[in-house]
Amino acid sequence: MTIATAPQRRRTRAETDLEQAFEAMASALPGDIGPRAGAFARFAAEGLPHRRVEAYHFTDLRSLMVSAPPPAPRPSAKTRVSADVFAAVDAARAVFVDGWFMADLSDLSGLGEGVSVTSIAAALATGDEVLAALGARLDADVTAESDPLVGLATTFYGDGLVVRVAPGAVAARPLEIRHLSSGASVSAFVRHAVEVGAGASLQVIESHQSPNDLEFHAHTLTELTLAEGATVAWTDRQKEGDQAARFSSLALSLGKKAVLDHSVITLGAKLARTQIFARLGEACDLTTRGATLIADRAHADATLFVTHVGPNAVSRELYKSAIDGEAKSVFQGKIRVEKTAQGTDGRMGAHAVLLSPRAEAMAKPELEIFADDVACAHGATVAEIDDTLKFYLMSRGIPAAETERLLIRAFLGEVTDAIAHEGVREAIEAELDGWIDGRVAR
Amino acid sequence: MLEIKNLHAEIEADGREILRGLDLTVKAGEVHAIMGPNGAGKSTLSHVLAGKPGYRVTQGTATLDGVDILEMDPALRAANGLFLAFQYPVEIPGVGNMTFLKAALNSQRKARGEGEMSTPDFMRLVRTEAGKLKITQDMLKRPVNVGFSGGEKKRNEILQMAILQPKLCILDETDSGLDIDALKVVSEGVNALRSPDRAFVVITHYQRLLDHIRPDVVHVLSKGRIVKTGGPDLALELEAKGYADFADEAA
Ligand SMILES: Nc1ncnc2c1ncn2[C@@H]1O[C@H](COP(=O)(O)OP(=O)(O)O)[C@@H](O)[C@H]1O
Ligand SMILES: [Mg+2]
Repeated sequence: MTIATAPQRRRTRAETDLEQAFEAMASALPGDIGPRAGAFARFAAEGLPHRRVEAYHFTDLRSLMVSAPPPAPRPSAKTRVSADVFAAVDAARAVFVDGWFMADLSDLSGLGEGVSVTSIAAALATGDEVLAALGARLDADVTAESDPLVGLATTFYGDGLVVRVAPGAVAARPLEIRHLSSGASVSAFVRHAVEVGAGASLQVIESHQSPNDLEFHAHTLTELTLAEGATVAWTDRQKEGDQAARFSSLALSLGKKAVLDHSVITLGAKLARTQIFARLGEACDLTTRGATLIADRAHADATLFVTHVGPNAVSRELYKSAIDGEAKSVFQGKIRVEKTAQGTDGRMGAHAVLLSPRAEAMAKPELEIFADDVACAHGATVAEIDDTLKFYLMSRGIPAAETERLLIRAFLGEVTDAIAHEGVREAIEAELDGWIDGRVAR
Repeated sequence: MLEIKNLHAEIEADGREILRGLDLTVKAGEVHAIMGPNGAGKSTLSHVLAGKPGYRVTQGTATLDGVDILEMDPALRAANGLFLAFQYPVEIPGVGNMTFLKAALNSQRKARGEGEMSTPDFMRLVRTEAGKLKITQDMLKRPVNVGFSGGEKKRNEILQMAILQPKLCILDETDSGLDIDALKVVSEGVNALRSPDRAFVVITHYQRLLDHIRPDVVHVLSKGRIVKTGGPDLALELEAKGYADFADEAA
């Protein structure tokens, strides 16, 4: 396999790592090599994105992604993993280690009639028809399809889940998808495709975790389709290790009157990028909220492309970050309203609180409107902890550290309070408290 | 209880001196009123005592039961029994009033080496005190002061005072923005707290409040100094004559 390279530029170490990995693995990658090779060729033509690429202006992967650990082999079946943050939540569980589905560690029972969950690795081995679900969302969204991180996940994925909820079915309990690490310095590539039929409903709790001091790269590409009137609640929480990188791409399609309530909680990773590519149909309702808590020299990016295609849909995007140390948060959000999307109601907000003098926040909300009858708004703020509020609380006897905890929690409350599942919300709030208490130690 | 000697304080940002050698002694069980023209430094005095950032003490001392409070952070001053009912209480979005009251009470108890109050005891205490001040359940459930009227904010200050049971209560213009009914409710709340081992410093611009909270001693503060001290009659005299004799250049 030869890769077209631009001769004028030296590849970065990470680019070379990825090219060598692809050349070494290409013949062994399961399934149809066509889409993988196509995706990698597109990636290789441009290389890692850098600051002159608009969508990556604030998150220059050529400098931030120094190297790329090798794609993860399937871990031994004997791999043990420790208990997870959502252990107390009653849910069906799909456990992934280094990006591979671990049937022995998983329990997919109790989801009820009409809900099917299939491992992609298993489907690839048998050529199962569920694989048809892969790529459908990307084909419809050129921004997603041409994204370099989407390209890498499409090239290297080995496993993931295809989840299907039949029309009218209601999943009897939440599906938890846990992504863990074996402790090896590898790149994990996972792809999920979730299709929720007309009038059906599903709750997903996703978590990502890896140890500190480990160069672990976690790539996830999820395609999520909600048919007419489907309802999904999705909470994604990541606490990757302090040397890890996490790249999550979510390609969404909401049909008529579908409702998606999505939250993403970012508590870890040295480098994190969460991207959402959403296409909204008629009178659907998308809410996505983010809470980011980062410290040290972490860099966390949330980039949203929300396209209103059908009329009368509502979208709400609210992303908040608390930034300590020399960390940096980036928010980019573009709401695009096509001509066909009259009656769109879109509102986007990005708010950051800087907890140290060297913390940084970037926010770039944008509206691109081609319809004439719409109500869209966006706002962004960056602030420090308000001294007046802090003094008021302290004047009642609350010590400085505790006032900061109260004020940070209050700031993030708009995101966390909205998590409907009580057990999930409480587990996340406990983690936020742990993070805030950890500030004192830092 | 409170002993202030030759206190000088300036605005940190511009070095403007506001308190210019202030002396004040308040004994346990007493109620002192501080009156004075706008801009005299009454709020500044209360802020400096509570430890609000933005002021610099350049000379003098302030002790509470013999302990120097000026070196303490505001939380420690509160745990030592100082309470300031603010002229302008702030709104704190996202922090529930109950969460706040509980954190305040238990932080103070902890700092004093007392155990935390149990949740049922705490709920009972808040319900009783809120009832006396005509503070509704809804106000207790809302974030601190958010969406409260001016009068509701002032009543919420007195609720905090009633729950925290401080030794020294400083009330800064608690009467401003109150109608006569609210003024009565607030005064009753304050009077209920009067006791031989508690002292009050009531800052007010008007004599009206002092009809309800009877002071033992009245001081006039002007240009950053106590310029006159007398009995309750002094307040009536000021009401009749105004502050013309003590006019501040800023007023
Ligand atoms: N934080 C501050 N920053 C700047 N000026 C202040 C500040 N606090 C008080 N001042 C000034 O100090 C003077 C006294 O104010 P204040 O103590 O509020 O008076 P009073 O409460 O007696 O009306 C005024 O001139 C006021 O503008
Ligand atoms: Mg004042």
